[in-house]
Amino acid sequence: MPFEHLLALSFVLFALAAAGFLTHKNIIVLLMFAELMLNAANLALVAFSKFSGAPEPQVFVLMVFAVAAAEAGVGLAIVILLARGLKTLDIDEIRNLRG
Amino acid sequence: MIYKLAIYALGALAAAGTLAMLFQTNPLRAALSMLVTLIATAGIYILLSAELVAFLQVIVYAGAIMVLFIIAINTLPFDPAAEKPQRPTFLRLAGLAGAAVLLAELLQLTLTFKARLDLSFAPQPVNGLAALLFGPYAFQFELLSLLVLSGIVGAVVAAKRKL
Repeated sequence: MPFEHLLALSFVLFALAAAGFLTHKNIIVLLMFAELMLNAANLALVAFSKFSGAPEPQVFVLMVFAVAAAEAGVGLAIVILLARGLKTLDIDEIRNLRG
Repeated sequence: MIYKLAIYALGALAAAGTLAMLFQTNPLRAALSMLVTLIATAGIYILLSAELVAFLQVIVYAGAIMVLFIIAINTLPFDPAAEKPQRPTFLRLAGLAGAAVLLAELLQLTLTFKARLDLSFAPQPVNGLAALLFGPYAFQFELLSLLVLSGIVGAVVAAKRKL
């Protein structure tokens, strides 16, 4: 199959996730879209690994897995803290840092 | 041939999952759509003969991270689905336009690649990945373990009411 189709699939997934990240207003859903953007980048890395026959890109995918897991853990802890204190997850309502 | 069709079908499924998420205002349903995308991506990984990555995708992403999200949604002190779901129209249009510009730029980039991909299944030995992780990339691997450790400590400190 044409290699660029796989890259295009990865980019479409990334752009859809970015669109969601920019249009939704619930912080938990924003975190999910951030994970999906990482997932789309992983797809491009695996496609390059298949294309070149080298396993190095898959090593980077494994590292991205670890970063995504750490991000989800800390991010959701912060979200629960915010929800407990502010009783809302609406990013248009949370503006304590805006000065 | 069948590999090619399967990749296109799974890719369409992944895109449909993300698209469903885009139009979903209930966080729990959005999480389930995300699960569809993640598992379809794992299928594509297998077809690209990256089995270890595919299994880790199912275990780490579709397993651990999704469970974290669903537990977080269910332990909220209020119902997030009851909130006003949409941002102001201007902000939504601006976000969609930004994503469209990004997509156009990236797709422009793909036009510079003209290559055929040989889809015959060629399993990558896990030993090769391990030799890389614990050989040339050992330092980065140790840094990752530090990152995960600090993530655990940060999450516990953040979620605890009083130390």
